[in-house]
Amino acid sequence: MKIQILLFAHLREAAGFEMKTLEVTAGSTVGAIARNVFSTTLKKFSGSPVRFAVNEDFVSEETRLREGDGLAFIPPVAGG
Amino acid sequence: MKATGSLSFHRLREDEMTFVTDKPISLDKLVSAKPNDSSGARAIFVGYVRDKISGKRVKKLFYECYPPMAEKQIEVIVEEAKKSWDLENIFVLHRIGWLEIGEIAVVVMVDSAHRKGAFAACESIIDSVKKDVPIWKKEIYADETDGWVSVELKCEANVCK
Repeated sequence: MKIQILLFAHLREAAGFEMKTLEVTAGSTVGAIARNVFSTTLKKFSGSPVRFAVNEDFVSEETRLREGDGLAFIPPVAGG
Repeated sequence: MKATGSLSFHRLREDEMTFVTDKPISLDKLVSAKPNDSSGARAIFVGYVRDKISGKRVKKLFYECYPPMAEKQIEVIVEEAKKSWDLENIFVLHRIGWLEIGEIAVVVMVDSAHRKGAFAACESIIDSVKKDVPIWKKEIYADETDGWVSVELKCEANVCK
């Protein structure tokens, strides 16, 4: 199935893109996809703190993605 | 902002339906807007861009945002605040994009019957905004270097500590 990943701040800069469509196994969890992205595209930030959001809501790593979902990598925020 | 007597006017421009803006924030209209007759207290927090952060002189900064999620998360924070305190009005607006020193980065304004609820809600809302709203800050320093900053980590030249 196809999903989109969205990156921000230092993760976006390190990867060189903000949004990308990925082909993943149906039923993949957020954690599995994240581990894959960190071990390939974002090696430098492997193990750095990050939360995840699917379709603009925070989710746990156990969340299973569905076709067309947008998975955002949310590094520690710094608004205000 | 209109004093409608409801909790629905926490946005500066209702037609735009937004909690984030790339335009400079003006306090004049906000502060001069009359609260509801039942409001006895108004607490306002204003966050400004300061010139020195972590001992380094800052020239300007860039707030990156994930807009649809920022809007959604601020909505969640506002709804939570409504449940926790007896509030007459809540206003939240965060600036994004490039900001110079001294510019307003964020405003939280809360009207309530009493001061205690207004102060508590205002502090809680800004704390939640800083913790849960997907906005990131890149500082551009006077020496032309830059770095992404957050409360939990500091990244310079893409190396995070």
